[in-house]
Amino acid sequence: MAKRTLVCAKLSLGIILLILPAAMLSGGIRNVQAYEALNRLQLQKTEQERIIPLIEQAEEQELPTDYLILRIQEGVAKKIPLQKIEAALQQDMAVLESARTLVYTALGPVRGEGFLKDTAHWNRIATLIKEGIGQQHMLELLQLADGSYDQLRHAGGLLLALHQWEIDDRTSMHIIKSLTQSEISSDEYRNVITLFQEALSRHIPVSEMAERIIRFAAESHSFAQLQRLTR
Amino acid sequence: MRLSTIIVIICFILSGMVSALPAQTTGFVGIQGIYDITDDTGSIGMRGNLDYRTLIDPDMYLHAAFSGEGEIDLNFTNTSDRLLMQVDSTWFLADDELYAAVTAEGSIGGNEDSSSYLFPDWDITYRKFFGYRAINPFVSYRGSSTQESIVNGIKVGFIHAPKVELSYTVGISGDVDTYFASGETDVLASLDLQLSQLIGLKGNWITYGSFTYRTSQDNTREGISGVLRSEFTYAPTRRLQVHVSPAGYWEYLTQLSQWNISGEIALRTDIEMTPWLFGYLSSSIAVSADALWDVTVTIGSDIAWGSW
Repeated sequence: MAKRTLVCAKLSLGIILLILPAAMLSGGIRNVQAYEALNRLQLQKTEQERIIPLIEQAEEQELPTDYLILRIQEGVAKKIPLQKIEAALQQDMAVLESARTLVYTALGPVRGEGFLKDTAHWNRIATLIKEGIGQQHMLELLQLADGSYDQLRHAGGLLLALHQWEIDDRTSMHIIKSLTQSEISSDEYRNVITLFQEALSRHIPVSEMAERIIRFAAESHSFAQLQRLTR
Repeated sequence: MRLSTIIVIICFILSGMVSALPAQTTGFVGIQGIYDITDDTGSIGMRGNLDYRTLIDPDMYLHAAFSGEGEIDLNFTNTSDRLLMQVDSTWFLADDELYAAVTAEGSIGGNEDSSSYLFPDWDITYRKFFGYRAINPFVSYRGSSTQESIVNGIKVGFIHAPKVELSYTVGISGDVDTYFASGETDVLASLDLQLSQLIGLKGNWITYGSFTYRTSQDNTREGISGVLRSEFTYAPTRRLQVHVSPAGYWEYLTQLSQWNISGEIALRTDIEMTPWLFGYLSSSIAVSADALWDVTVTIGSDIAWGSW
């Protein structure tokens, strides 16, 4: 009896494995996880008809569909109208396309393609673009990181923090360039924001503190030392 | 001469000085008003700061700072002033560094508690750097002097940052405090700890605690004492910063079996009105055995100059 059950289970699994790709092909989505995630959302037929072509298009353009599915999940969870989700997806696709162009320009197509195999890398760059970091500064950041995700993550995190703190991106990039020339570990970059906070307490203009950091970072082997040289 | 005329002349002299300063000099001048709610008294004042820093060569850094503030009460009868000067230098020795500083606090005209004075202090510290996640030790010789006594001491300790958001410093020190008039010498042993933590990208807090034991021939000095102080800073943008700092102080005089406890909490808001014009509003509430409550409010504005 148990043996018969096992045979039935194997047969069922085989049938599912045969049917699933066929079903996916009928929907046109090749990414299994993306397909399953979309299924779990239980979209209505009209919604499917409008969302699935966008995912198909993203796959054709070789954009990371996982990223887009997350956006759909977020939109559905927040009960955002379909039109807005569609618009957000189209905007995200444009951002991702832009991210790829920047990475290929900075690292070249071969290294760029390798770098973008990880969805986290796409996410990081897309987040910075969406927060309003300009193309030129994004390109400089990617060139400075030179394919190191840690450098991109930490330097990008500082650039974003300074951008949100209303320090102009050009000044921020000068600071980041100076930090990358120093011996300061990249995961300490985020501490730089505390120098600006201290400057505000002591009524030192932002431009003056920025200049001190740019001037002294290259001489510093740790953030603590940079702190002593600039305060 | 009217006060407004004096202020105009001072501003004119300062603006002339600024144009003559070296390029690496920054600073600010400002005015402030202070109101003591407890005593119902007020004063107005001016303050200023000059800061110069440079690399003498790639291995040596020099910094000099001068700041001062003067106040006059609203009846224009009592004045007070306070000056602070500092010269410090850091010498980079491969990964390590040698730091030396001389600071002096003084007053030309004195204030309601004392006549003119000059209190210097000095510090020479050697810091060993093993790595940014390692335990980095330091040793320092420091001293200070007042009209009453001179203090000399040694401190050893280490700084450790187990992760980027958190660092702490532990130090133990021994000091000798010699009194000029009596020739008496007190010996102090201290343990102190400082914790610093980032809160997201817009906030941070620092907590400092110390414990000191003092032996003395004078029963009004011998005893144990401690400080626990915390500072919380939140700056959502470059234009606004809020700073809250509660502190508690305690002392137990062993020969007199007497406790002295006091505390204070300060709240300060700094605003960047333009890239070079700052405003601030601060208030503090102090509680002690002498004055149950002491509440002051300060409002002021500073014009800064530098490289903009």
